[in-house]
Amino acid sequence: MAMTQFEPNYENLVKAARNIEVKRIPLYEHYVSPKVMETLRGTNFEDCYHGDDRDLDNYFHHYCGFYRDMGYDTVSYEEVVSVALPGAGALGGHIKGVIQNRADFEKYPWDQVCDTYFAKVSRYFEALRRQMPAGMKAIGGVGYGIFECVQDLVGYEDLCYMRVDDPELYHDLFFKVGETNRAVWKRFLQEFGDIYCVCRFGDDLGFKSTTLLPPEDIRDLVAPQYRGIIEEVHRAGKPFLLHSCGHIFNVMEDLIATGIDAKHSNEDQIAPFYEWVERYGDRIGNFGGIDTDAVCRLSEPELNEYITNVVSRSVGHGGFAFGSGNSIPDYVPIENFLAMNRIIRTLRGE
Amino acid sequence: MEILNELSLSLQKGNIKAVQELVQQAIDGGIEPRTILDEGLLAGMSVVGEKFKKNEVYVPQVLIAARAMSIGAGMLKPLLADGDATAAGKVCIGTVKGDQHDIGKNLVKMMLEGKGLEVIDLGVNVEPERFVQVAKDEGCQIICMSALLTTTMSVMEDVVKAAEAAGIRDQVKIMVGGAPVTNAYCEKIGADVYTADAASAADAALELLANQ
Repeated sequence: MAMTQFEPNYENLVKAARNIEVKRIPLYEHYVSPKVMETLRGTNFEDCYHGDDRDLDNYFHHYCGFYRDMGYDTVSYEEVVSVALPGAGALGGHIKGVIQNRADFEKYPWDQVCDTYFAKVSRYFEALRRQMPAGMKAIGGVGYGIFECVQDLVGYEDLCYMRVDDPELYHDLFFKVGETNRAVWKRFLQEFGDIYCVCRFGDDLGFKSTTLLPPEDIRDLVAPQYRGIIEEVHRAGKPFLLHSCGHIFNVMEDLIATGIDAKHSNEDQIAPFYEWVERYGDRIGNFGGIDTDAVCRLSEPELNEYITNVVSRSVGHGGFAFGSGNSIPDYVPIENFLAMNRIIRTLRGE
Repeated sequence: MEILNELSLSLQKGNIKAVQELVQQAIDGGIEPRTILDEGLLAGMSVVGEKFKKNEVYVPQVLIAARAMSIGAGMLKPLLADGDATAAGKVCIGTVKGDQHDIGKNLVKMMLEGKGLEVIDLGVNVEPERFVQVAKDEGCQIICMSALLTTTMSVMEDVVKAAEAAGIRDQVKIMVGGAPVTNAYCEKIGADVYTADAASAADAALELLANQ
């Protein structure tokens, strides 16, 4: 792994999230596959996540070390709230959602979610704290946004049917999940806020051509829940980053109105990164950059041209942090990820 | 006919009860089942598809309309004469091997059915050879496949090659779609049609069948 004189400074990412342009462009990834990290660290550590505290320290030593050594100012880390939602898994799991009717909703153990979450995941955040490198803090927190949690409990298609079959239940679900997640976030900020400099969750609201729900549903049911959580984040003195994939231009004004400080995720087939920057850079920070598909496919000279173009068109429009438009899953070729990283670091003056 | 307009409108709203009542009324009134299907149910789905293309309605509205159509069509099925019951074409559809993301695929399936096509749903994570075998065994004129991921997208080319190897490439059209898929990619792998959304896919399928 390439070692440089790089010294991390999490304040850079905080500035980008607060829409202040930073000379040394901060790097950002929503997620990097542990397989990629293992390859670059030259050691297997993913299984340590399931071990005792000593194993966990080893896990986070390498996990954080990856971000530091690759030139990031922050460590992207979250624990998804669904670990505390009994029966969850309908989001992408091809299982029937645990809530299908009013009776399911009423008997669901909502009041146990917060305690269950911390009983299950506090040890990970504690280990993260112990291993956090000097000059760095984490970005993330309680993973899964409101829409994703609702889908995880109901299933997307069943949720669409519920919208007409039982509109009251459809409405109540979003508000119950919002209330529950807000309580989790509140306690998270009290117990682990010190190791986080930017809070975020991912909530994919769109797909290739539009939003997954009608815009009025996002405005009336999803956005109010965001607002409550963002209030807690702001009360703790931190900016909030929303990660949302898809074509969501028709709800961006509603999302900005919830108080988000920055937004991440871009796909070229929807709009290149610089378009997001040009459209919203006067009000929010923009995180993202290179379509993950491009990271996978382009040669190093092509990546260089691509990145140079996107960066040059993004400067002068407020704060931004740079990296892939989505994440670095394990199918991204290592040499391409390294080339991307090298090109950005050269561009920012390292 | 007024009742078929009403049926179309009720379907567009996904109103199952009204669709059931109107289909029954139309049957009782002596309207030909094929006419009820074409001018009531399929006409309604066609409007939904057009509105979806223009972002005037969203996935939930498409799903509930498709559900209403399925129930209405189910009432007509036993009444359709053999010739009338024949679909306008047969399609097999699935997400490619390694890809579990099926929302887009399901939407395309509904839109195809909304155009009166018979759709064989192979589900998710479908092997290239299975697409080809089913197309061959069932006499499908079109194979439709989708992928959400950059990596799984490459499997689409394997399906094209498998169709060539099985000697059915000239008998079957291959349509592709999904988040990372582009028209350029479609041409590169030798598939026939790429569309950006589900409603356009259904239109393209009809056009392919008309030109066969």
